[in-house]
Amino acid sequence: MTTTPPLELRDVTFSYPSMDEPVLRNINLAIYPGEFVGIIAPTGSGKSTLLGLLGGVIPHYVRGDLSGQVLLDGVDTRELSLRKFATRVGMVLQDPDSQLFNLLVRDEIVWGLENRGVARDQMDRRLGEILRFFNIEKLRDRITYDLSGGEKQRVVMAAVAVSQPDILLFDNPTSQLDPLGSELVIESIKRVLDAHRTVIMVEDKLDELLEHADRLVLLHRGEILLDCPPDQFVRHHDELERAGIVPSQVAQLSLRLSQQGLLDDQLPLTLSDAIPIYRRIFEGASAPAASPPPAAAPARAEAAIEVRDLRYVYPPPRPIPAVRGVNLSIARGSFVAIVGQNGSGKTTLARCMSGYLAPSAGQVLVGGENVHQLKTFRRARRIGYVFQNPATQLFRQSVWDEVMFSMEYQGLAAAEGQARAEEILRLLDLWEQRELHPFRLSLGNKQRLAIACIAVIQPDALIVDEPTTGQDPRHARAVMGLLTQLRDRYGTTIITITHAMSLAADYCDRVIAMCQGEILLDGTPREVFAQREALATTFVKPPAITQLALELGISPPPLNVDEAVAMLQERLAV
Amino acid sequence: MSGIYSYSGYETWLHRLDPRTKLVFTISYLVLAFLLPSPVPIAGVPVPTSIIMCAAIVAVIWAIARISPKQYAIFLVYLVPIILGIGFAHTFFLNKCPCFAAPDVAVLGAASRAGLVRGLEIGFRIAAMGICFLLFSFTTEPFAWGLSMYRAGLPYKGAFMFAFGMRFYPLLQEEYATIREALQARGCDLLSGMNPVRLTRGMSISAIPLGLGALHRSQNIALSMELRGFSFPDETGVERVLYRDIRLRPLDWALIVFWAAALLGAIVLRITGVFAPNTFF
Repeated sequence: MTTTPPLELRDVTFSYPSMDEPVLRNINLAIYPGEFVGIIAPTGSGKSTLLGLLGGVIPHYVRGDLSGQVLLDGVDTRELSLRKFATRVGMVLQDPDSQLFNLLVRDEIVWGLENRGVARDQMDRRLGEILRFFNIEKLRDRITYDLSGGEKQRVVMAAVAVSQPDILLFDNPTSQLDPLGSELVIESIKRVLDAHRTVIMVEDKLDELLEHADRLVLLHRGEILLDCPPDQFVRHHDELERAGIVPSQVAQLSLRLSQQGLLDDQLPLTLSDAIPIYRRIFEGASAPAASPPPAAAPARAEAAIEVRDLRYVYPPPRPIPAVRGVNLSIARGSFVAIVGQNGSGKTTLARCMSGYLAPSAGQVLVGGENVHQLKTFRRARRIGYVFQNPATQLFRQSVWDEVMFSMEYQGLAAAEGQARAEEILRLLDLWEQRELHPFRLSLGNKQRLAIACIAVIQPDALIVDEPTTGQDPRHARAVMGLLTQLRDRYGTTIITITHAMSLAADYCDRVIAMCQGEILLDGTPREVFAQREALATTFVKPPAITQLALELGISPPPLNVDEAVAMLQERLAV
Repeated sequence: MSGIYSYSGYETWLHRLDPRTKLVFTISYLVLAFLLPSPVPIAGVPVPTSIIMCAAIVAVIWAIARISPKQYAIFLVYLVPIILGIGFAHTFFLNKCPCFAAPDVAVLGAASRAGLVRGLEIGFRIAAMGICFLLFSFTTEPFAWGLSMYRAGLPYKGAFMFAFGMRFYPLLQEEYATIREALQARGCDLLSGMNPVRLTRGMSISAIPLGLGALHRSQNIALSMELRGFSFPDETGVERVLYRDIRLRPLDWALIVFWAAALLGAIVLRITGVFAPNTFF
């Protein structure tokens, strides 16, 4: 491109006052008008700092040692105020709740215009336009905290975009959203691009960026490792592996088939690109699809949890029936995923199962005992619950004290408590960090510690609420691996609420899909993910590789790339 | 999401009233609680005014604002020990405060029926005031309140931050509930009972995650507000334009006049002696 970049970083190095090492080193990056630049980075690589520099937050709001130049329209950002920056660059942060500070949607959207002294009739016009643009007219008079995650994030986008900045920065905008919410947000970003705005998006999920971005930047340990178009990006195996980035399932499949000479020059990276190409390739192949490894026949295991005709209606002012007559039996030692869009009732069901919510009707038996009649300490031994945000579950001054705090209420001898704490910390790879303050741990390790604090009690069953949210794919897999270890070591029944279907497919032996407070589907991952149309009613999409196989008429479909490669090879009789 | 002292979000005419109208009503009701004579005879039975005022405000919240007492039952439960405590104190210390009594006076032995009645009366009056504040917070949208304060002359930043504080409060309540459940998951129910010693210990344990969570959230919110021009008018001199029109309607004026007149009338009647000083004041 020959145009002058409106936003440019020249040899930028930045460090925070409290840190010895720079967070970013020698960054050179130019953003051109109308581009969609995706920034991929594993947790702790400095992506938020990079976004802060691009958005003018650094050095105006967050201080540190900045060398090199950040230029907005050729002017060093040190010479610009945050206010001037904000007129050109809009920023949408990760957590929508921290960006909504008005009560009503319409007030939220016009708030930025009020501050800029825009006349009331113009505000009215721009409010109407932006509501239409983001397709959220129906939300105009709603209360912001009543919205779903996807709706909230779109309202934030509208509130930022209404001031008409040319460049929009997005910090993991879909990381806390369910599949439907993510889809709606991505749709909105596409609209922004169609309006010839420049978009820079930091994202953990490569799939989204491969499909839409013009250029991908790989950031690793504060340095740019790659800066190239998506089709070249995935071919840089070494750099991706070094940074711990896992390409999307479709990209992995294409790369592996390409290496085996099964694909010609084309390298489809996204599902939409892959379907017609693979369909053409496999059209002539008449070999029967290979049967996937048969699912292990469910053993007649004792039920760890039994849910009997459970109903829950939220109290007024919004008395929504969240769970409607659910019956469920979960076998001891199983690893179950509960999936479904936000509002489908999965978290309410889990909270009823753990005893936090008293059901409106029905009962939950854990180990044969009614969970709602158990004393707190006894209930903790029966069923544990790990919440989504680890920061709300850590209370002590060191990792060791944190785990020992769980032991205080178990009535165990001190020696046994200490032995258990040591065992769990070693198992979860936190032993070396036992003297650290919990808040000094990385997000992934905080999540491990939160799990350790419950697992040390050795409950019969453990419910983990969205354990992979906000974590990059490598850390997400590590958390799921950890839960499997707990199941294998202690025989703990694991129930996870998740939006990560590929992880559910790989780690869980049972998937329960919920829709409108009822169980929609219940079976092995392969059985559930094969029912694409039924899943669509709760806005759940099977893993991309499974979707591709279903499009190609392969049944039963594969659940991961290894299975898919084997099946396709067999189909082509390689 | 709704909790004690947070906006309920219903659509009733009481919700739609201007916050200033409700503020006048609240203040009038609070003062009237201490001005009106008590007891008043109802069907020949003397009924303490404070109990009537409690019942009346609960009925208004239920019938007009459509919020049943079940939704704030915990608040009513917390009122019980307060009312009983005040009643107890007056039962024994109506005439002699133990601090000033002569050493040989058996103060605890001097329980009186008059003291009990007076204590309960005061307790119920205080309860009526608390419930009246509930009505205000349940039915008043925080930003409408903030804007009306701005209209009344308070600086915008102060008014907005005040309203935002009200908006922030339910978020804190939600976070507190999560922390309480996280403690329960560890077998610890320090935040679940009514024992003040255990509650204090539980609060001290939960202070770290609650405080850090609030700090983190408030930093992000402050950043978002700055990015959307919160300081723009101060830095540039541009006059802020309000999208929402906060204006007193005829019904608001009528109610303000009515309650102000009721308050004034009660004061006059009390001064002139028509309202006999109740037994207690």
